[in-house]
Amino acid sequence: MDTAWHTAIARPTRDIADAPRDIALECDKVTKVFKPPRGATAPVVALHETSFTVRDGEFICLLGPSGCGKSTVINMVAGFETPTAGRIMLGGSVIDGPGGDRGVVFQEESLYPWLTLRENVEFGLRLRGVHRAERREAANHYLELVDLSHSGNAFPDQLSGGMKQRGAIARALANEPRMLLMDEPFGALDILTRETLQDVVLRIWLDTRKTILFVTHSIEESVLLADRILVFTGRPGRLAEIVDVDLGRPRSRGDRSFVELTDRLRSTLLGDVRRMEMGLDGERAPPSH
Amino acid sequence: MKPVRAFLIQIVENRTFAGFLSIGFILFVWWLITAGLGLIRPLFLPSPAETWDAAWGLMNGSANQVYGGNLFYQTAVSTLRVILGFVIACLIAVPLGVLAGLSRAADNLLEPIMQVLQPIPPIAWTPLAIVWFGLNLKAMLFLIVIASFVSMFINTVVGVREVRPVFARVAASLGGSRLQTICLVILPAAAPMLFTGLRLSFGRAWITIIAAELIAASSGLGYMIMNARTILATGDVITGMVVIGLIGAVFDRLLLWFERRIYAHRA
Repeated sequence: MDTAWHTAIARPTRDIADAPRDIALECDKVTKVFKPPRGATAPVVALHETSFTVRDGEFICLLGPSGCGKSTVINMVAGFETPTAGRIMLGGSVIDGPGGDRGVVFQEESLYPWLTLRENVEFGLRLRGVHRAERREAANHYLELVDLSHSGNAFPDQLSGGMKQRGAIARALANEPRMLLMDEPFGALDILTRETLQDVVLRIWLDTRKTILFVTHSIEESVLLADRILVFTGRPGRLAEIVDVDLGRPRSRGDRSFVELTDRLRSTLLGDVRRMEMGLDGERAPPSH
Repeated sequence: MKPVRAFLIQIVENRTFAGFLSIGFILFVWWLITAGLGLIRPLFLPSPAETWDAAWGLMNGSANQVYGGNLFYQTAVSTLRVILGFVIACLIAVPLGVLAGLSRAADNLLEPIMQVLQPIPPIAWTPLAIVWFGLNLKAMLFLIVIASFVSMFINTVVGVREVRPVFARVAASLGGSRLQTICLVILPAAAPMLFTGLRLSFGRAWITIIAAELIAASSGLGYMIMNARTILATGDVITGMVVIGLIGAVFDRLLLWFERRIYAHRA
């Protein structure tokens, strides 16, 4: 997609990353085991001894097929679940529950239907006691950021799926979290809307330089968006590989280097998926990074 | 199809018109068997005209020595009793319902009690109410609370449980406290179900207060129609019944309108 802002912000990949940045998130040998579901005896190992770090301002994608632990990681970083073993640290302190420092965008529709779009976006600020005028202004700013300036007074059921997700992104951002967690936010949308929203997310990230953790099962999406891709494999879920995406921005799906990377990832992942489906998953030593 | 038959079908398919038609028919039969053909004695069923006279008399207070007040007074008494009792019932039922909806433990403790109370018709509590509170307002309020409490509680629990879990997670990820989540997210989200509960419970409360007034009060619409029997004023009885039905319907419509206004967006 060839838009003005794409050319305006074109830059080689490593100039910003070269400056040393703080570690925002640290996962240390995190394991998550769930009680066996009804009728089974074996507990479910959703995640096995996973470790990685994330620096401020990075765009990280968690990539993998269903059931490989990537959503479990996001849920634990968000604070909705706690690790069975190991720990997750945000800026030096252990995460022990959800909080306004980690904004979340869910895959399912999550805007409150009894509030207008603007009221939804300013909800976090309202929880914090910010005065109405200030809230309004902030909400309008973030609505503009996601191209929804004219829909502020609409109710969610009057919006399309893509608009609702943009609204959810605006709401999470308006609360000015330290980190944005996105769990397959475009999974329920059609491809065309998804591509538009990928642009929105990229634009926001370049604008705000928020640290973003983005879960997806789309190889193309992860290569398009991420600085680094955490590749997960499943049963038991674990981090199989960490891939540095050494492509300049803006990235184009047709570029040779883009296609090479997606192909490489695809063969790795398909091999893993086949193994998972056929129950042939053997022991593999996780890499260090 | 014959034109006459087509015409008739058209009439009955229009709801308003057909309604007028059937009600009109009933009124006609009423008139016929009372004033028209004199088949029924006025004591058992007064004619429409006689009933209207009785209603008029009730409204302007000509029988005030008997009942203690005119029709509007009796209506006000019953209505205020039920509103007061209903508000009290909600103040207890809704918080408990929210608690039981959110906490398995609370639900495990409260649900069995509700299961035991629910099948007992509220009116069956009347003797106990009189023994405990005497023949006064407190007994009436107690009965109304009993009548509305359980169904309000159950509707609140279901309403809270049906709230999508993601809503609470959103609030948590925006930094909301538990209390904020309950007040600003759970309650508004559960409100449609709560409103349904409100209408149901109010209906039950209204039925109960009338029944209670029949036997245990000295004012109110229920008292009035029971008393009318003793002075053989059947016209007063029928008038009372019509008013009782009307008030019940009015409140139901009012709550429905209120619900639609607040939830114009179809949550």
